[in-house]
Amino acid sequence: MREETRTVPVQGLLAEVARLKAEGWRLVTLTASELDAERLDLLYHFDRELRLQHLRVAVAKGEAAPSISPVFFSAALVENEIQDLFGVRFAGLLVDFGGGLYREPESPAAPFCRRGGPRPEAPPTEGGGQTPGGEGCATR
Amino acid sequence: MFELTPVLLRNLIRGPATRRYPLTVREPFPRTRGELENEIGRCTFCGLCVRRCPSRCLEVDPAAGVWRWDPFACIYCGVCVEACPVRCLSQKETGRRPATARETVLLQGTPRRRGGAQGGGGAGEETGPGPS
Amino acid sequence: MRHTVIPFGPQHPVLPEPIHVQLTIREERVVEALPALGFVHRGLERLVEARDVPQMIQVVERVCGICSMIHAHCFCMGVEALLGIEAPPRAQVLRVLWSELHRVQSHLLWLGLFADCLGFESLFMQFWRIRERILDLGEATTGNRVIVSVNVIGGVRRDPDAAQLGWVAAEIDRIEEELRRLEPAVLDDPTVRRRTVGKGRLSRAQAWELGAVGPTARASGIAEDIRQTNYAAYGRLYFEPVVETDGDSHARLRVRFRETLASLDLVRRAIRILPAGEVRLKLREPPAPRGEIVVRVEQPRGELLYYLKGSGEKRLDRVRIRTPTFANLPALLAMLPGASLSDVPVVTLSIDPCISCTER
Repeated sequence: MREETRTVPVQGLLAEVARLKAEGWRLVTLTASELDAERLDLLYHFDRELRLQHLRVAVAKGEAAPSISPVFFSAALVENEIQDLFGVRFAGLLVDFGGGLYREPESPAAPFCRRGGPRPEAPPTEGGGQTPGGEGCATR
Repeated sequence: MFELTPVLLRNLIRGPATRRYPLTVREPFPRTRGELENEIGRCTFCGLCVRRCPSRCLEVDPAAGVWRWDPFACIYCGVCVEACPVRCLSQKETGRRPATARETVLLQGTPRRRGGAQGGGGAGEETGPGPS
Repeated sequence: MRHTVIPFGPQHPVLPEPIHVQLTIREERVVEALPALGFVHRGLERLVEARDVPQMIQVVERVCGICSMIHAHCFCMGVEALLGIEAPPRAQVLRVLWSELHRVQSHLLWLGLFADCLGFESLFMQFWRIRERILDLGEATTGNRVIVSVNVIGGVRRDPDAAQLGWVAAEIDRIEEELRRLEPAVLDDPTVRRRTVGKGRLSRAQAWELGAVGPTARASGIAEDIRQTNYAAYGRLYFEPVVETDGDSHARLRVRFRETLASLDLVRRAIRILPAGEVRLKLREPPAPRGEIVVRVEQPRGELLYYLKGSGEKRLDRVRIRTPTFANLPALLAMLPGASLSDVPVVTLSIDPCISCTER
């Protein structure tokens, strides 16, 4: 890619993201794409004064990655989407829909993983954190 | 508080901004992308339109000389018109008229003969109920 | 203390597209807002498996029904960069012209919806009547009103002649005059001010922290507009991002209204600098891009990001689309707590939510 792209190991991700935040970079978004049957490629895009920078992390399917939502809260939404569509688990996600942001219990697991290989189990839709019930009006 | 009053008074004088459709119909602009048409007599059934179509609304059978178009799946993008090597496809300036049932347009032409020139004259147009 | 849980959406008169927010209310004030998305998720990104690169242009155009040309523009820019080609100068300026017309059309749609959500129906009609004239300009120059399908890899498909461009320029002048007549009604009206000033306040620090983009961020004082990166022909057209500092709904309204006028001026100047020449590069073979790229453009709602990955095949490996409303949703969810229940529709609409873009 045109801009600076660095590969970091999964363990060093949170520290690297915190360092970028301290330097004035802000998170644009995450991109997940399938590399092959076993691995996913996670890209983190950062922006400062209209310049971009990227971090690349390779995650095995089924492996949990650390969530960066404690550093950048806006990552919670896109990490939930990646959980739904690719089946990655983000550990420490502040608002966790548990794979139920777009998906319903009867939806296929990890619908964007098409190269087969070991598919992770469909995560439960009533997961931890704040999960909205979504049913009508209730008075408590 | 009366900021919109001049505009309202002007509108009262000028009359309605809407057209009394379908009694009054606006003339279409030139080269608007409307309904697809095929001069089946010139079609060589090469299948380029089928391959370029983004919405898979076209089907061609070169052996039988049949060209089928689904006007309900078509997105009227005009890529097929650009791709056609003999320029037999064109788009009208008006859209397809509303229909009460699914239709498919099926045109029968003279099938391509191997190595031979394309004969002229296609048979008429058939519209029939497509798959629902 | 009793709490009431009220569902906002997915069907609501102010929402152009379905989004569900579960509001926990205590005495008419919102205490908590939890989103539920997925009503219009179509999985369009997976269509790369079944459509080759030129067909994908039509697919990405249909991600959003309001700003479709800009999606196609971004996609084409990305593929052209991967292929190492550049659209001819005339095509670049035409792309800017149509993008700015789209921006005007999108902002007019929003201004109308916003007026409607406040109950100001006659103003809503006025804005949409002006919008119809913009759509006519689009239809005459491209062949269709909103989903214009005019971008291709290597340029554009239509080339307006001098007569058409003269008509476009004259119409732009008339439209600007009409908009200026509506300006006091939309910006200074006491009722509009009462319903929008101070509502949904987003501070600059919050906007930056939560990743807000576009007019939502610019109304809070962040002076960033992706058009400043000089993609397409923006390098040749000087412009300044429209910035306000109040951070409330009225500031967002002012930003979008002033951006509409700025875009009309950009269209006028684009017509003036339009160079002669061809509008489309002839590609020798079907495009088979190789490599990865991230492209960003400025959509009416903010920064649009496309990540494209190809491996030299006719079909791309991955297209990832990050739309501006996706980035503005966390900001919305931070604005809602503390708002009164009757202000929730106004605040939600003030970020210009395009949920079909968000969920693709």
